[in-house]
Amino acid sequence: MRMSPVERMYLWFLFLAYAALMVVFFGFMVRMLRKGRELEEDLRRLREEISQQHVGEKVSSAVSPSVPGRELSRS
Amino acid sequence: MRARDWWIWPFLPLMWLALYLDFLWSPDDVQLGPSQRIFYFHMGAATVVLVAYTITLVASIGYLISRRLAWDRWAASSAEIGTVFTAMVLISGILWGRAAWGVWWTWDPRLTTTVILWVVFAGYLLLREWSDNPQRRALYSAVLAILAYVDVPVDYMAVRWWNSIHPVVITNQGVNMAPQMVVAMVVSMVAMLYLFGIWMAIRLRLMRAEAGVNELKNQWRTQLEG
Amino acid sequence: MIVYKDFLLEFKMKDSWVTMMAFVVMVIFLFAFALGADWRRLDAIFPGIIWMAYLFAGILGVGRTYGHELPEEALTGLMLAPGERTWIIAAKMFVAFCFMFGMELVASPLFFILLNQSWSGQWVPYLVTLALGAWGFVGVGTLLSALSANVRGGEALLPVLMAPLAVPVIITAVEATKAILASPHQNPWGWLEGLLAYDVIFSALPLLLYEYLWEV
Repeated sequence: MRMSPVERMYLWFLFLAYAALMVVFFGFMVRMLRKGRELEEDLRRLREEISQQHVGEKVSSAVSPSVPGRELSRS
Repeated sequence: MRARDWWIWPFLPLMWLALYLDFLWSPDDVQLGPSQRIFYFHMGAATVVLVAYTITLVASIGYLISRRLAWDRWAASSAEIGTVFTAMVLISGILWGRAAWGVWWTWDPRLTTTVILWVVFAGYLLLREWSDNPQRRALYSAVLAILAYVDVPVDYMAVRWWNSIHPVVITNQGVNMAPQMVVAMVVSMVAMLYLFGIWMAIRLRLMRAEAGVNELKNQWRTQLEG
Repeated sequence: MIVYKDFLLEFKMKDSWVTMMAFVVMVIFLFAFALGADWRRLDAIFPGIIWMAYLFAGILGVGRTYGHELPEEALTGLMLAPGERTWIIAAKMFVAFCFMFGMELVASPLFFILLNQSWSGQWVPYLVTLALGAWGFVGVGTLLSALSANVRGGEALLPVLMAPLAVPVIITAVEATKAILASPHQNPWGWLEGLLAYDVIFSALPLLLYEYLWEV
C-alpha cells in the first residue's frame, strides 16, 4: 500500500492540525499550573489570616447593636 | 511565579518532534500503510496507562501503610489521568482496528481486559466521588485500587498468554519493528509520559489546595463552635 | 468458629435467602417471556442466560451480607469477639458461598424445566462449575459489599463495581457450561482452571485487604 501525493499532503495537514491542537492544549496546561500556584498562594494567605484572628474568644455582648463591641475596637 | 514552572517548556518542542516523527518521518507499514501511524499514539497512551495505574497501586499501598492523605492524592490523580488515557487507548485502538481488521470492535482478550480495566477504574472514580469522609474514602479507594490493579498485568500478558489477534510489539526477542519506527515510538512514549507528568502536577496541586481549603473550613468551624 | 457460622446462617435465613430465591425465579420468568417461544435458538445462549441470572441474584444476595450488619453495629460486635479477624471474613465468605451455591442448585432445575432444555450434561463438572463460579462471585462480592455498605449510595455502586470485576467469572463459567451441555461433550476443564485461578486470586486478595477495612 503506497500513498498518493495527495494522501501524503493530508498527513501534513494532520500533523499541522495536531501541532496546533498541542499548542492550545499546552497553553491550557500552563494556565492551569499558574492557577494552581495562585490557589496555593491564596490558601497560604488565608491560613495566615485565620491564624491571626481570635474567633474562639468570647466577646462580651454589646449594649445595643449600634455600640461597637470589643472585636471592632481592637485593631 | 512563572519562573518556577520552567520545566514544562520543553514539552511543546518535544511533542512537535513526536508528531513530526509519527506523521511524516517514519515509514509506512508494508501491510497496513499509513494507518500504522495511529499506533504511535496508541502505544504512548498505553505506556502512560501502565505507569499511571502502577503509581496508583504504589500510592494506595503507601496510604494503607502510612495513612498519609498525600499518598491518597497521588493515587487519585494518577487514577483519574490513567482512566483518561485508557479512553484514548481504546479510541485509537478502535480506529486502528477498523483500518487493520475491518471491524470496530471484537471481543479479543486484549480488548476485553482493557475495557474491563477502564470500567473498573471508572468505578473507582465513582466510589471516590460518592464518599464524603476523606479518611474512609482514601481507605476504601486504596483497597479497590489494589483489587482493580490485578487486571493490569493480565491485560499486559493477555496477548502473550492467549492467542489474541492484537499485535505483540515487544517480545523476548526484542522490539519487533523497523528501526525508524522504534525511534518514533520511543519519542512519542516519552512525549506522552511528559504530558502525564505535567497533568499530574496540575492535578496534585489542585487537590492539595482543595484539601487545604477543607481543612481550613473545618478548623474555622470548630473554632466558631468552641 | 463453626458455632459462629451457624449463628450467621441462622441469622440470615430470613431475609437474604428468600429475596434471592424469589429474584432468581423472577429472572427465569422474565427471560422466558423476553426470549419468546423459539426454543431451538435458545440452546446457544442458554448458559449465558443462567449465569446472568446467577450474577444478578448473587449481587443482590452478597450486597446483603454487610447491609444488615450496619443498623445494629453488629460488625463491631463481631470484631470484639475473640478470635482472628481473618476467620470472621472467612466465615462470612463461606456463608455467602453456601447461599449462592444453594441458590444455584435450586434454580438450575427450574431453569432447565421452565426454559425447556433437556439435560444432557455430566453432573460432576456442572457442579464444579457452579461451585467455582459461586466462589468467584463471593470472593469479590463480599469485599465490595463491605466497601459499598458504608458509602452513600452504595447500593447503586455495588453492581457498578461488581459487574466488571465479575466478567472473568462470567466468561469462564459460561464457556465451561457450554462445553458441558454441548451434545458431544467437550472438555470444560481448561475454562475451569482459569476460573479456579481467578477464585484463588480474588479470595486471597480480599483476605489480605480486609484487615484494613475494619478500621474506619
